[in-house]
Amino acid sequence: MRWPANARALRALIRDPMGLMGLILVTLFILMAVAAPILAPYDPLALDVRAKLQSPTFAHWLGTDQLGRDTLSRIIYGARTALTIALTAIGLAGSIGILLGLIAGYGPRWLDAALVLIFDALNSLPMMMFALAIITVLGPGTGTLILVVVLVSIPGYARLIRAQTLSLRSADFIVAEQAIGASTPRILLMHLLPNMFGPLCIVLSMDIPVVIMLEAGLSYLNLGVKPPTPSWGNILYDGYTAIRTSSTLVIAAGAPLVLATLGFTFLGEGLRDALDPRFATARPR
Amino acid sequence: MNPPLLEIDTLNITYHTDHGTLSALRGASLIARAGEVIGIVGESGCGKSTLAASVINLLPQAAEVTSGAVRYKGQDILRLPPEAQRALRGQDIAMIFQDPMTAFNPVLTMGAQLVDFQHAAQIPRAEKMARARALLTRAGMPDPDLTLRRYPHQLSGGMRQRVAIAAALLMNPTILVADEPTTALDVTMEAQIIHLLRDLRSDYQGAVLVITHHLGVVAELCDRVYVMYAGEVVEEALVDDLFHAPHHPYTSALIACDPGHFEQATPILPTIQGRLPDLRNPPKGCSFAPRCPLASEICATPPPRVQISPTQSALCHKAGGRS
Amino acid sequence: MTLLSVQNLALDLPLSGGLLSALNPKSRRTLQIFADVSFTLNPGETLGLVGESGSGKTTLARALLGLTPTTNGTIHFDQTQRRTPADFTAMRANTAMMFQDAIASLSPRMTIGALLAEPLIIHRQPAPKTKIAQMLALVGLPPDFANRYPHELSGGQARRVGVARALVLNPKLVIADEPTAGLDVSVQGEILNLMTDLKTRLNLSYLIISHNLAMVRHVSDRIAVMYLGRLVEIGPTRQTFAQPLHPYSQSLIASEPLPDPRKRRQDLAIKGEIPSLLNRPKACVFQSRCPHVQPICRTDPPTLREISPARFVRCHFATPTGALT
Repeated sequence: MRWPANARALRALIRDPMGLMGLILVTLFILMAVAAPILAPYDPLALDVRAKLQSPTFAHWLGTDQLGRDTLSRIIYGARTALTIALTAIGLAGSIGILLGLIAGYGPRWLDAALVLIFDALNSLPMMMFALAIITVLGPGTGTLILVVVLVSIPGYARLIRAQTLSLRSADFIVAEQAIGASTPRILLMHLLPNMFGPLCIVLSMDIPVVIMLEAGLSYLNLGVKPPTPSWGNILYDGYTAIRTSSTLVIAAGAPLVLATLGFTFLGEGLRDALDPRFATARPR
Repeated sequence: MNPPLLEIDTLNITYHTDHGTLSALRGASLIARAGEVIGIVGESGCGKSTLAASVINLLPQAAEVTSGAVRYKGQDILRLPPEAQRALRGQDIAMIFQDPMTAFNPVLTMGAQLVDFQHAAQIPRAEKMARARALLTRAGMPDPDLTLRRYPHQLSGGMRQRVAIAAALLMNPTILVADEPTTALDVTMEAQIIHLLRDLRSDYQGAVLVITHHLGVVAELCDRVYVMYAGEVVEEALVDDLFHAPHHPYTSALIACDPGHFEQATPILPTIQGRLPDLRNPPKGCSFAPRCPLASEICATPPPRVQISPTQSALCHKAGGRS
Repeated sequence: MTLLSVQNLALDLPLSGGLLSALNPKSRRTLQIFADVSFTLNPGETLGLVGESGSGKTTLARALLGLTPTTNGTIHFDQTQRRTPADFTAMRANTAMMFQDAIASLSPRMTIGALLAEPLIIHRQPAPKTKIAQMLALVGLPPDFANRYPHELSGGQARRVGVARALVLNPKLVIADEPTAGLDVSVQGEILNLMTDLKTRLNLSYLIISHNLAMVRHVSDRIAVMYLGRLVEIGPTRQTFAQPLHPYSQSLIASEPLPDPRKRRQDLAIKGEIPSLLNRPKACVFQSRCPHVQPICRTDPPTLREISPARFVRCHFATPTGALT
């Protein structure tokens, strides 16, 4: 299946300066993450204690940290960490959320009522507090982090898909498919879900910076990604401890965080505007 | 004969769209005098709604008036400053819309809105309410006081349209434009609204423009009719002449296709073959030629407007018995 | 042998009444959409179902295909009673529906080709490109339409695709909901003529739902008139139009504006509004607007009686000549 609306939406996105900026930043971020081994000049884990805490030099464009590791390489690999975690967490949360949302929206009312109760319960938990609680029980680490994000994000996707399903289930084309004899799974996956991609894309792209920030925040508290794996949060923490000696680390870790968050936010908002069916051109009647 | 209240003079309007520039109106002309009910009939894409919008001056942003004029009592309203245009709207020129729901503010009662429509009148509020009540009674509302207290969503479609008609007549406008006034209504309500409009004629000295695609409504209501096709006025005639002695092939074909036109049921219904011309590239010759049973080589040139009689004209090379 | 037989079909919808009604089942209100609907449809026949807003005709059509559950009555299709979802699923290959909004009835992200293949795939039949092209040709569309998307079609083209999709499995019954709504008069004939032609070629039966009397008159063999959820008259089209027997049918036919200024309606055939379904009149539902209403109409509900051969009317005073007093 092709997506006919996408060509038009892409053009509209590029025309919007914010959307274009978002698209560029996100593309750079993804490139950085994917091509990390090619882009990074050094092994991010390679120690060189003699060269510790250097300011930017020709050999190390962003200087080094306390253990002599090249900051630039760590930043580039940090993008990979951020992206991996974000994609995994959101991928899992999204899949489960979509499934639950479809069931809630299309199934019997009692099931819907029960699921909505669960979503509301999960929604009422403040993310950070919940994260800290789980980490206390299960110990810090990438796995725990992903679990927290998944649990907290499911209701958001589920509610979105549920709302879309509720509004689409009585649409003519769905009734038409029922009249043909299409099974429920077929209707859900082939006819309902593809028509929800617009709002879904927007929510997904807006959630990625949230997860990146959460990961950075928890890593900063030494509760997230375990060192020595490079993570922007870890690097921020290293930079914080070394701030009197060298401010490079803090800036080097902070800047990509800000840019990635901005990029995804701009992209999300740009997508929302681009996919908005406001493009009805005036037709004379 | 009275002088024309409204004169549309060779109006050309184009729309600037993402897909190109569309010629929505091409040299359309029309005259309306006091006491007349004028019908403007045509199918989708003929430009009738653009014509209505130009009279009430509510053309969309993308529309551009490239030439021509819309003269109200001699004055070109398209070239007036916006405040002057706004002053005319609702007072001198009033409109009834197809969908009575969207014509009203959903959060105000009908009474409040009818009073508000009279904002330009310098009379006390109680008197405005009394006028509204009187007009609602005249419009056949069974319980005007109750209606004044109701909100738009509490009334049925037919009731809302009656109130819309009453609202349009509140300020005694000189020109009343009714854009598809019965299209959204049930058949039995349509009959009642048609009767109401016919009935109100006696109270009303202005001109009425009825825009519709429904030939039955035109036959019931109108004195004179303009037939539009692809942005042009292809025929103009008195209503009886239009239905019984049309001179433009499109008019004859349109009447022949109307299912209500037949005495007996016919299993195969006539249609007009072909499609509307692409108005981004308006045809040089006759717009209807590709679909016309009478077309010949001369139709590749722009057709003349042939005056069949003082009240009837047709935009056709073959009109009036010429070949 | 009748193809479709409906007996006393009724549909009541529960009205959500808030907390109190949830606690007390007896106080739950229901909205009656239609009741006591009985009629038959024979193979190769077209039945026109006409009515205005609130008549329940669209919901009835969906109920006939099991797309809406009913509260009472029976539906027999192809000599088999259809009650459970499984019963209706079994008839899916033999029935089809055409929707009023043709473009909206086509799944927006699928190509026309994929949409036409859907019924075949669902019913485990082969769906080669040749078959798709054949269906498109059947409705007068070129084969390259298979690659287009619903939003790229005009209203008329979308309707043709609707016809093609309805016929892809060679059904016995096609229900067409307002087949000409939104179409210009000059092209209405295209879709109707197509439907008529296919009917004779493929021996189809149609149930055509419309509020457009003039159109229905040309394409139906029999006509059924509905008002506020009741079937008030049913009979052969020609006779029903020539001499309607129910006061509502009489006023409906008399209300339609004709394209001839010499045939202007001078008096109003009917006054008043269609009552809301929530305030449906008791006994005879037409009593509030009937010019011939009598006291009995307010107390005794009339039944659908055969007034003359094959003509059924729901009125205490109906006579074979059409006179009512």
